[in-house]
Amino acid sequence: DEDDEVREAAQEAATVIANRPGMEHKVKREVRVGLGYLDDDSFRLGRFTGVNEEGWFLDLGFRFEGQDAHNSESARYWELEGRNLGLDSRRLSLEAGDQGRYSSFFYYREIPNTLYRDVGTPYRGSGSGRLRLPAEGGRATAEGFLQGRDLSTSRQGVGVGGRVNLDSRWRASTAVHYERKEGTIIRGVNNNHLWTQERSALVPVPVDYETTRFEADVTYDADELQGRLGYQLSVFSQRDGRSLEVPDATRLDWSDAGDNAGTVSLEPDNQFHQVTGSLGYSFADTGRVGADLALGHMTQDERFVEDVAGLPASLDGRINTTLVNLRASGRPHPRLNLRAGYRYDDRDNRTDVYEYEIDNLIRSTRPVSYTQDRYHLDASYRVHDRTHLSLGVVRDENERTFSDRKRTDETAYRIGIRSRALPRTSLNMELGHAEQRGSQYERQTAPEELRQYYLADRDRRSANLYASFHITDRIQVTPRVQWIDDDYTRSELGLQQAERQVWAVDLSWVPTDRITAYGFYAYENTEARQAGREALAFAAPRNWRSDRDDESVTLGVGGEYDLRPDRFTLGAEVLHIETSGRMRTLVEGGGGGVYPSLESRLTQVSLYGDYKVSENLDFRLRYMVERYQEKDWGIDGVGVTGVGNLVLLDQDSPDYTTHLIAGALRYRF
Amino acid sequence: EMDADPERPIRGVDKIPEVVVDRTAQIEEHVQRIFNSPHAFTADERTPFSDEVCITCHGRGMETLFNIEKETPERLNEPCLSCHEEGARSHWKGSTHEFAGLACVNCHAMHNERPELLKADTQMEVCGSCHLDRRSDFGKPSHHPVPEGIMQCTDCHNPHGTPGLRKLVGHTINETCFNCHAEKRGPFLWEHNPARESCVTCHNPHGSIHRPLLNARAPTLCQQCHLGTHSDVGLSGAGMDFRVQGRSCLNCHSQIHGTNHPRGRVFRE
Repeated sequence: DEDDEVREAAQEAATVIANRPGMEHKVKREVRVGLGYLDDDSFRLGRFTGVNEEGWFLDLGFRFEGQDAHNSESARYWELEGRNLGLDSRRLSLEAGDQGRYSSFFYYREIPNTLYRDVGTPYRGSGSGRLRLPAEGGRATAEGFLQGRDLSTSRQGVGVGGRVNLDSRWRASTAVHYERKEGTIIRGVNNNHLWTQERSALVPVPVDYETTRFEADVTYDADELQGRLGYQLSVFSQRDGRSLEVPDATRLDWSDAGDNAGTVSLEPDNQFHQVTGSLGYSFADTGRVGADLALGHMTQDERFVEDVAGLPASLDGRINTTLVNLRASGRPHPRLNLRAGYRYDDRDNRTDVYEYEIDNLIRSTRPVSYTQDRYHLDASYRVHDRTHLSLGVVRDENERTFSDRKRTDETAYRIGIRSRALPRTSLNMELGHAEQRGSQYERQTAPEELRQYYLADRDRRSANLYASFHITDRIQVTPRVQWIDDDYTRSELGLQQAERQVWAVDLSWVPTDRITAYGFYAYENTEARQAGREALAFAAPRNWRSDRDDESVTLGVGGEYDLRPDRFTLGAEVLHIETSGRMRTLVEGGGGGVYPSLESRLTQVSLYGDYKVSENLDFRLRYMVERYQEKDWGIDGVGVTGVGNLVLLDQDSPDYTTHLIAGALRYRF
Repeated sequence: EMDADPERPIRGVDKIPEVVVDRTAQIEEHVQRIFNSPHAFTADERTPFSDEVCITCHGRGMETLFNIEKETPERLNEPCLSCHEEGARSHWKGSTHEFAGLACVNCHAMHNERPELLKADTQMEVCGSCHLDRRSDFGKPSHHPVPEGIMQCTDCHNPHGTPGLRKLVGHTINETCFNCHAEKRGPFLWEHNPARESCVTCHNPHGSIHRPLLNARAPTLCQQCHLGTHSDVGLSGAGMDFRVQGRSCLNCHSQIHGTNHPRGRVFRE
């Protein structure tokens, strides 16, 4: 029949190609030169790529690659690629090797992250260990002393590594990654006031982090037995010192603010060492047993920012981590698939508990340790030719130190069905139920009835549906529904209920051989309720209830039209994403109220055309307009001194319409 | 890429039905593509394709050239696993994806020239074609830069299975996060218990409407665990003040992951 003819044609073609006499080392070169224009500043649009300021930008890239012919005596390959070279998200990478013998890589990359542009703050200086305030200013006149600051970080990373096949079974690999992260972020600083004095400021804090990671491993891969022994090291360094002095901007007169600067701690240097090992053994085609072991050691010994009686000069922080993973899976019967596992995860904090007096109060530190044991068993049974029924149970047991609840455990059950029994249809459905319980809840502070939600008794119900329908050869519909309902009603105070649902569908359609179209839609809603109680000094406590309702809607449609097949293609996409967050609080006996709604709305329209000018030259033109609007009552219109005795930032949520047009030529030779 | 691959994907959807116009005419192109791939090197003795060509993977009778949807995942995966059950794929058997009946060809197309032989240009398209909810998370105002192409799913997950939970590349959730956020690793003099245990107690790493990637907004998020001397108030929009505006609780308690300051018991310093 026709199928067999194609099968024969395939094998004939393969034989012809395979027997072609030795071709030379093939080299492909591609250079891309693009020019774009953004018609307005919009830090959000290109916050991760660097295209966020009005004006022209260059999009430069290249890709050179070479590889030996498939039937030559070696299997060498190499690839040198540069991407976004004209932008702040530039990347250069090189990969080279001889397949089956060795491989190596190198990369350099930059990743910008623009948080906000031109945010007003009265603080001056950055990276000197000390911020300053203009001496002639004060809280009341802070608005007159604002200076624009860009809040952003940039990561510059470089990595190099390689792998060598020692023989057909043993391989060794190693890699080093170095990354520096620099920039300015915002942090709230309280200058050691009591909360009743309501005196804090949002201040620009320098970021200058350095992280070096080293990895090395040896692996053994035979037909049945595989093993790996590895080591990794991560060293984090804070290059801005260990502290930052921040003058108090909430003072009426800043002339002596420097004398009242508070010292905040910056993230301390730390190290992490880990030895890892894995063993896996396959048997009887489908069976496999395996074990993993990871022994880690974290340290931190940064000098404290002030000397305190009862505390050593530095932490001497030490944590040992242990992970053991045992797993087995297999098919004891042709219809039955089983898997089971045990996992032991331990964080053993060996850091001393320090008890010391500060501001006439005795403080005792709480170095956190925990142990988690997890058991799971899953079974899948083929009840019909292409239909499987599955059952699963997971048992989690957790022990913690310095916690309101020493022990929690959770047992989760799930039942599911997956079927491809109906033609052109794939269906997966799963229902779950889980219960978290634990030891006696022992709160150290009032209110006694509060249950921290990650420790609280919880009943969880869940449902998950995923399906795929090929309605015709040319239309496919893929719906997905998820629902999770968490019930914490045994908690008198704290989170009481949280429900999340997602309704999503993808649609793809090929109306003619030259047109493809698609659409996607997703609706997500999370509703949660929590309870609290105000402890009043001169009256009976008042209970309150707070409800939260978060929503997001994503809608996209797009398509492509091959105006001239292999020559000229036109495409378009419209994307709309809308989110909202609503909260309200009801206080017993009256009070509370509704928060304004948090909102964001993104509408993006993209049009593009790909035109093949000649065999080795093509041109792409892209136009995009993005309308974005966000409303955040926490910052919009609040002003620098608009709230109590806080000194905030002069910033508003983004609201822009920006047009981007970019053309790129790609030349291959 | 403009014409690197006739199976060029469309954003967000790798499920565009493949309409075959003329199978005989297209078969040579199909075959040529595998010769351009890593599977065809005869010098690499590990690639059995170079010995027996098509039947190495498609079977003696070339059974799996057509109608592969009628084959079992085990049958489809067998030729792949005969070589690839090693390294980053040694946890495949028993993994969630394997147990759910996925086949290698659900995500990979061996006859193409994309990195990792993926079926679409980006991992977000491949993974997002089933994980529709995660894909929409990345459209929210606060998200990791996956749609921008700066990060990809495998920076945090290995879809073939790992020793970690949720196919994470680290042995734990926090180990995975600390790969890029090492400043939050500690240990610290003052530790915030839930942050030490699991970052996802407070964050949704895929995306959220609450910055930065928070499961809920302060003060609501914090009040789920804290009703202390000043956090016990039923705060609302009716009484906007320092406890809700700006950064709410984080106006003061900004060192919530942990701090090394001797005065940092409540994570302000």
